[in-house]
Amino acid sequence: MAKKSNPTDKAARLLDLVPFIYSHQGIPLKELADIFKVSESEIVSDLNTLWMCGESRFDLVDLEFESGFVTIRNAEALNLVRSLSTQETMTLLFGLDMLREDVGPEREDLLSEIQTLRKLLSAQISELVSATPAVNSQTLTELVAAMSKRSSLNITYNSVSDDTLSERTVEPLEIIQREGKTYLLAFCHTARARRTFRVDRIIKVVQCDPPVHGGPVDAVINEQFKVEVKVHSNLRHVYETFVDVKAKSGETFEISVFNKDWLFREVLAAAGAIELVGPESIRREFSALVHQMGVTFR
Amino acid sequence: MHTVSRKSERLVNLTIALLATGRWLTKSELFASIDGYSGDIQAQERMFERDKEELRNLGIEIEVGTFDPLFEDEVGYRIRPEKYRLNLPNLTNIQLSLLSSAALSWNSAEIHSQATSALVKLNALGFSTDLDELTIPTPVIANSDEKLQQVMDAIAMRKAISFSYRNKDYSLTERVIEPYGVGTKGGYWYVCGYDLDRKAIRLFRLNRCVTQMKEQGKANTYSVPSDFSMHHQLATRERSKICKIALRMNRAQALRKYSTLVEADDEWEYFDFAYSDEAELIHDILWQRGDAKLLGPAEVVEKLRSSLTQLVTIHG
Repeated sequence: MAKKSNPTDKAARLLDLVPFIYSHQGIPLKELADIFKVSESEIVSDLNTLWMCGESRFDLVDLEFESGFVTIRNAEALNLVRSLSTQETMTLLFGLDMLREDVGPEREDLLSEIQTLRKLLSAQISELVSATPAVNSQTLTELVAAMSKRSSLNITYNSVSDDTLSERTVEPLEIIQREGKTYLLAFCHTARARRTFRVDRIIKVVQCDPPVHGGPVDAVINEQFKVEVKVHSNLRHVYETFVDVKAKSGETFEISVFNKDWLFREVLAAAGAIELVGPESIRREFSALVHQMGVTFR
Repeated sequence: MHTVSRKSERLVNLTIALLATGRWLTKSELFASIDGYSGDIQAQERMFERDKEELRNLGIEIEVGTFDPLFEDEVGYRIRPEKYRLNLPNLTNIQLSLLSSAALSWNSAEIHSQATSALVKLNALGFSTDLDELTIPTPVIANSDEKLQQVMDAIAMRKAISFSYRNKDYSLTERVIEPYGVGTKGGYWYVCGYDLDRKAIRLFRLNRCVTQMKEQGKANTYSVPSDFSMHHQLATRERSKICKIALRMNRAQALRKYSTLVEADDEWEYFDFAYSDEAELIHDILWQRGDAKLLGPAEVVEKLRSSLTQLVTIHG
């Protein structure tokens, strides 16, 4: 908050201040600043500017705010709530779209209200935006609540690295946003170590009963190792899937991985677009795997 | 006085003058009554043109009209209060709560300020919002990419944008589009628009646009087709085809969502699996490294086998 306003932003705020103060006569300066998400000195500067405005030089807006409480008179022409800009309408529509997905089909009442609001805001603009939440808001809310209470949760987790389900007791430590995905960093009581979970893969969250509190917070994190690959097509996918991708020569790249099983799955799924080059031991192990799969699929 | 304040003051005074008038006001009338239009007449005109443009960017519509239809050189300006004003019917408490929750879901600074100003406007109508009415949590829209704001601005102004885009082979190309819509799915943000070079509607993922969005040309040079729907653009392809697969007991959870169990033995469960795209199907089966088998149709099984053969060949 409190970044420097440009003149247009400031003018927009002045125009919005007038009807707001009209409907909230006597509002404390500080509250006004909070609502408009600017510093108190910025609001004072706004009011000082507004004071110089009016229908003519002899007919200025009458403001009183020296007492710390703000009242306004003689600004009837501006006492109109401005219509929403396209961008403001879009932000509301995005939020409504997200709500729609979170509400779920069983709340027909809310879904129909959301539909009504979309039309009221703008049927036309609502066709230009679309939002589907990447994570379940209920899950996220429970994780954040547990974090603030430093309490633990029982979760059912669908592993990203081998696609199996597991039940774990975890103490949420931090929510991390990276590359479009939401992660939970937690102390996993089951593994006795810190683990990172993808929030969209947390299938179920249950409060621990009795509650489990605290846990040692330093533990070993998986060793990272480097692998050399040749990329025959779709190089963008390699950059988006692996970390620390470095070009070596021609089609050869060095990548960093945490988990060999997951690496093998990604190379398999690339169906020949990625070739494992080294280290030799890993390449041989992978070669044995594909030979064996060839037998299974015959 | 500070120059920022001075310009804001001029913009506000211009708005007041144009709103309060019951008739068209000419430029000379405006320059005479509003402080801040200084310099020679050309300089004043340039200032006025910029001010008009900025008010339009704020969504304030300035109408231009003539006093006498026979003499069009003397034009006048005004803002119609009924167009300036927010026109929303009385909203119910639950509707207000939904709108508040929608506005509060933004946690990125840039967009957050717009969500805030929208809330302030609703609040100024005298509505008080009470989130307790809602029994569902506020969603979280995470976005810290300033390109989203740039795209929204461009769509609002109907202005073409250009950017450098990362292609599948990792090369970069310059794209110029007329943006139509914007949306998020699976955590990624997308802009959809008419690609002026490829002459077709295309979808672009924002984190693959490696430069800022550069505005091109003038505003309002195109319109969005009336049948355009961003929701439709982001819709998942329908899984309309069925194949036979086998999954090892308790493994391959991700594939079970689209599967119907047919039979099972001690080690394997057999499913009808709904899919949309062959390449994606082969990808998904191979990823399970032997915990999933494709049993039919024969031609797709053949493709899967040839992928495996290729993997064997390149890895020796």
